[in-house]
Amino acid sequence: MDPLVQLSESVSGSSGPVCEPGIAPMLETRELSVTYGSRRALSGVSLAVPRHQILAIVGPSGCGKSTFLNSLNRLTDLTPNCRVEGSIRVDNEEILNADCDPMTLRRRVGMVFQKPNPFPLSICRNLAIPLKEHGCAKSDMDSIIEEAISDVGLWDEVKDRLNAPALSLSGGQQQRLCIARALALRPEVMLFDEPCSALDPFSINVVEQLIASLRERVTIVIVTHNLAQARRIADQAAVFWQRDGVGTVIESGPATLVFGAPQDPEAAAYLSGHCC
Amino acid sequence: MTRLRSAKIDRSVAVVCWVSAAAVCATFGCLLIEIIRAGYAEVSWEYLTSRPLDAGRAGGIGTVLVSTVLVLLVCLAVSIPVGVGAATWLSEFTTPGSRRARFVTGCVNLLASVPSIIFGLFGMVFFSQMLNLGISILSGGLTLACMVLPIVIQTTYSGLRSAAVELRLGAAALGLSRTSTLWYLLFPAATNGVVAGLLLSLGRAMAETAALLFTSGYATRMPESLLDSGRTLSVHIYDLAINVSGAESRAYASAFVLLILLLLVNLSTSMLAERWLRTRQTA
Repeated sequence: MDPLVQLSESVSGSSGPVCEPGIAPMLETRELSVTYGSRRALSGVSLAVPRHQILAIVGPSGCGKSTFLNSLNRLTDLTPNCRVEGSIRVDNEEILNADCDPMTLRRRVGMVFQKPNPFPLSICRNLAIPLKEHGCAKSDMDSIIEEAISDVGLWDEVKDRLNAPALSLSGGQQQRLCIARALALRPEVMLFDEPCSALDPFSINVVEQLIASLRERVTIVIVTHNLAQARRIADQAAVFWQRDGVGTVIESGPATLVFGAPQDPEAAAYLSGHCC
Repeated sequence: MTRLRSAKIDRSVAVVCWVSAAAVCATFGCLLIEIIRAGYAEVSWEYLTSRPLDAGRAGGIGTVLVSTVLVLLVCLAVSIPVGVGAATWLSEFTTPGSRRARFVTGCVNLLASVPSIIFGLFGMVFFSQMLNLGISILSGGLTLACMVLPIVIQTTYSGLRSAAVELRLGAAALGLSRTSTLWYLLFPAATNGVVAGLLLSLGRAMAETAALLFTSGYATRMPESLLDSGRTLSVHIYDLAINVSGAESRAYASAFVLLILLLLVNLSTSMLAERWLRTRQTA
């Protein structure tokens, strides 16, 4: 198993992630649990993602994948009665501490959702508002916006209509705009929550290649239902499963091992398509 | 057999719905025709600009229109900021279903169910007497503001809540502050709700008589300040119809003007809101 990434949880009985000495993972969770009111949604998730790698999270619906993702940028704060316990470290900094500012954290840890969610404003304003919020100087704004839109391969398509409503773009273009919007803030980590499942096949391909290419700049966690996609782009992989009504990780490690020779029988059945 | 029966039921339901829709149109049509028939002849430029004479039997409604506009302005200037603020608090600054939220919502609902005559009495005691504002346009406007507050709060609240969850999550995920999210995303999304509230409030305020009888009063002279008494159009209609004999046609003429005003307010507000939303989307 790749020494940089190892997942541990009660099921597999291992004792926590082991990282190469001296190299801290970009993103690391230890014994992470999330509870909504009295209902536990996620339990004992310990995962680590090295810098500039892609961790793909797969598993059936309702096993806490999105909850896990939302806890990584503390979007879980928005849900009343949601409690997150354990440890989440981004670049070796604990983000569950009270002194971690969630607004700053969310600039560092960008997120793209399943359904493209551009603001009902112009293409340009979609990027300008978050940039302004995070103190970007007016003079730098135009070049950063152009760079971010170019990075997602959208510049040639929209450069003549930056003031057009973002909602007039196609679904795939909207999703790329959302990625550009997050990228413009220069994040260190990007979270993708099933970013392709609301798109047409052509756009899926474009967005998937884009995500794969982004690993040169950011560390990525992607939740996907598309196993083939996970195989194609992932460096690391984790299979989430529901045990006794609580989501947890049953298999994890380098993607080649997880997809090639899964140890857990349920994970093996799921990954081979013989299970729900 | 069952198929025949369900087809019959379908037809009957369709007929009932058509008849209901036609009844609504007919009611509005009759009302409009009656008011236009009885009131139109009296309306002229002079009628709109001169002050009432002989208790309203002669002269016009110029001063009444001025008082009406002033009362409405006071009412909106107070109810819109307070209402939008309260709705924003309910929607964004407290957990829906929490004890505080339920308490405030309960107060709003209770306020909405208070009859306007009670608001009139309250306004007379609180604004006119306790705050010493007298029988004045200011007292009337403030009383109306209390009355339309629940409408502004309820419509703004539903407008804010109707903003897609994805919008809020998207804004939060980009690290936008609550104020920026409200300003750039939620308020524009709630505009339709706010405009609907504004129209309903204006309609209710323009039509209100009971709450104004004891607060802004009957005076027909031109108001010189907000502390002067002034009669609004609906109070004028009430007065002509109830207290002044031989002024029925004048009452109809005033009703005609009131209807036209309501129509104009409706049209212009929705047009302005639409245009504002469009510029906002492309700005």
